[in-house]
Amino acid sequence: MDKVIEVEPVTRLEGHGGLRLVLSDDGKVKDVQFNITSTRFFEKFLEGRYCEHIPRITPRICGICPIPHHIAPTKAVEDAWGVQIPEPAYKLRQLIMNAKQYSSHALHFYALAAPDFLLGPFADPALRNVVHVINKMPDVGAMALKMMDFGQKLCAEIGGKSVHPISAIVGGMKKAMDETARDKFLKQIENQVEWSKKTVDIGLKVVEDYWDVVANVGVVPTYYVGMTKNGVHDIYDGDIRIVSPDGQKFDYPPQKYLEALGEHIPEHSYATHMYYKPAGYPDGIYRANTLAMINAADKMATPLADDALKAMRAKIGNTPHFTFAYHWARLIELVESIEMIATLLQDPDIVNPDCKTLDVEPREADGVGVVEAPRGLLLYHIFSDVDGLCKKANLLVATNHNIAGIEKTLMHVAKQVFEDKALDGLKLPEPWIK
Amino acid sequence: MKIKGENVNIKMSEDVPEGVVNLLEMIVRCFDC
Repeated sequence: MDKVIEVEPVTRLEGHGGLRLVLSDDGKVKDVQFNITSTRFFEKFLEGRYCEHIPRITPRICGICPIPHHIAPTKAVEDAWGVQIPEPAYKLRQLIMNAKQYSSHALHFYALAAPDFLLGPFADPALRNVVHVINKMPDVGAMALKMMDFGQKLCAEIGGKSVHPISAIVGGMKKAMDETARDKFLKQIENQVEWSKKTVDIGLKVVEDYWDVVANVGVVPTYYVGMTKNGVHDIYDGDIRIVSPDGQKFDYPPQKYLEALGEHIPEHSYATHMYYKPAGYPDGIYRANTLAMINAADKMATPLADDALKAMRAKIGNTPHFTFAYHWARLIELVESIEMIATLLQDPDIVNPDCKTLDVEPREADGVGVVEAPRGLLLYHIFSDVDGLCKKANLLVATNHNIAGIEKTLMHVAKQVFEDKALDGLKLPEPWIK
Repeated sequence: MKIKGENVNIKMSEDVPEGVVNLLEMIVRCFDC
């Protein structure tokens, strides 16, 4: 009789997911499923709505990533209507995207991922959580909370609200930052950069301690999807970049996404499995998210982050497939985001009120907007009619991009654990928190 | 079998240690989706 292992829900995720593994009598892994809420209906909700209203509706898709869901559709409508936004608006959008990136990555590393490594993956689950980490390492806990707080408050300052922003409009941004608010955040930058560096140091120590796990568990060659601007890591603007398992890179302008990104409907879910079309399904299954972005980038956009990227590549190569290196990649992105925030806050354009154009006219056309959300590529394809009403919308969200890659990785690890008994000889360090 | 703590709804065979299940969860946490 088959043995079924169900984990519902998987805890400490920024979304909601469940695992289902089926093992046969002889201990072979027969099936692995990763299930999420697969129908949200937002594409239908948008039909018949004014395209200008879409960026106010879609942030409700996600309480963690509302800003990417605010910015991407705004860009899509601007692409459809041929709207050019002023430079201050471009920079304000870069700033709010990086504020979200910073807050989300800090939250993930400290609150969601760190308990497994600081206490050890086999620690008592009742203690393996962020509250216990804060109790045992109060200095680290305070630092983590201040990092999250900084990012969220900066999101609120630019976006009008921290969770469901309202500031991006077709044609730019409603308003610039005021100088008093800008100065308040600038005063905190020095500490935030220092804390980011400390976070990287903690992350590198974790990688070193858990090297046997990082280098041997979940090493799965796949394609990757990310975004770069002229090869440089960019979360607001650029081309879609696919990376093959052997490191070849293929660029696609957002408007040509259908040449690259395919959707396969599996039997067990309405949530589509994404794959790289030229390679076909399932060979072309790709992974998104932080390691994918890092693998896609020729270089990072800022100096400290680029140094961190070079250090990572010196250790694990240019196209690493280590699943646990997703955390390492996340910290490189964390550093880039605080450096981007520091640079942008010092830019006079951030307080320049010339941040919107009135040259906005609806037309019958379709447009594509792409950004990189903290968990992966986010793409909106919006079809406008002549009056500016939405005829059709296609959303490819980060979770879509990740599901097939997650299942492929889980299948690999389940075979390692249940068939190859790979855990038996695995070296685990002494926990930092006992 | 019920595990006290995080995975209150977990259903699995008693011969699968909780830590093994957590390792699988850790893989999902890498992606954070």
